Amino acid sequence: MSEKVYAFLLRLYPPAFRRRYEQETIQLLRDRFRDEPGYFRRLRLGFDLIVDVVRSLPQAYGNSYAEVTAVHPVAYPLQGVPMFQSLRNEPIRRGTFVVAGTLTLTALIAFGYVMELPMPTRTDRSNGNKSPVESVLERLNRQAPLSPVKRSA
Amino acid sequence: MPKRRLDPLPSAAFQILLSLAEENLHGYGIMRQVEQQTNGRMRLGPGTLYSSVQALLEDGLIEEVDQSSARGATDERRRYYRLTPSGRKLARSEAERLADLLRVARAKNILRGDYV
Repeated sequence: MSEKVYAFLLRLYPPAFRRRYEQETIQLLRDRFRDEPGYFRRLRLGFDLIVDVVRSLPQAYGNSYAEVTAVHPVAYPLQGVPMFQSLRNEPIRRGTFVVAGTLTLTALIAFGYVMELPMPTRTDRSNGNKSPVESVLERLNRQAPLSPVKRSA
Repeated sequence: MPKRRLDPLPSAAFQILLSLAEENLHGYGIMRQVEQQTNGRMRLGPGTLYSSVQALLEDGLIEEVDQSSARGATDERRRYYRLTPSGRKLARSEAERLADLLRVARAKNILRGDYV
């Protein structure tokens, strides 16, 4: 079997498989051609390849070809140390969004409530005098207009 | 936890995991290593090899390594693969399962004493 015939057979595989592995399969085939000379060995290689195509097609179509393109550095210094594999491998559940949304809303409501409170002032200084900032804050709190709800009440 | 697609582990996938147990290899290296460790009984074709590699990658049992820093990497066109901790764990449990089968077979006199 020639390289051209095998390249034609590769068209039977899913496009994602071809995009990722076509060059490697052709390279592997060239290596085997180089390492397996002789008529009978080539004949056996051709037979092996045909059987291989038939047997591997179902698995090739069963793969998803998603998110496996990450290339990791070769060093592996932390063998046995727990890593965040689950964050990478497991999809985010719907419940996560509900919990995150609820917590965000609660935080915003709490923030709004705190902002509605009057600003604290201190009048119990030992000498009875207020700082300029405290005086302004007290006047602001005293002169703050009533909200429409309070006014109607 | 999502169910693994390689359950039960196919023979080709197990052999690939075993071939990567000691060093990072590219596709042709894996094929040669599998041929060697099975005494020539299993010769992975390109289709079986790379569809199994893809399934193992998707299950997080092996991962691609930076080939420029891989030991003995001479051809930058090739991708190198290595075993992940979960892949090593699965290979160990599969080997233990096979060892249990071997013990049963020996206990029932299916095998004679030449085997481990």
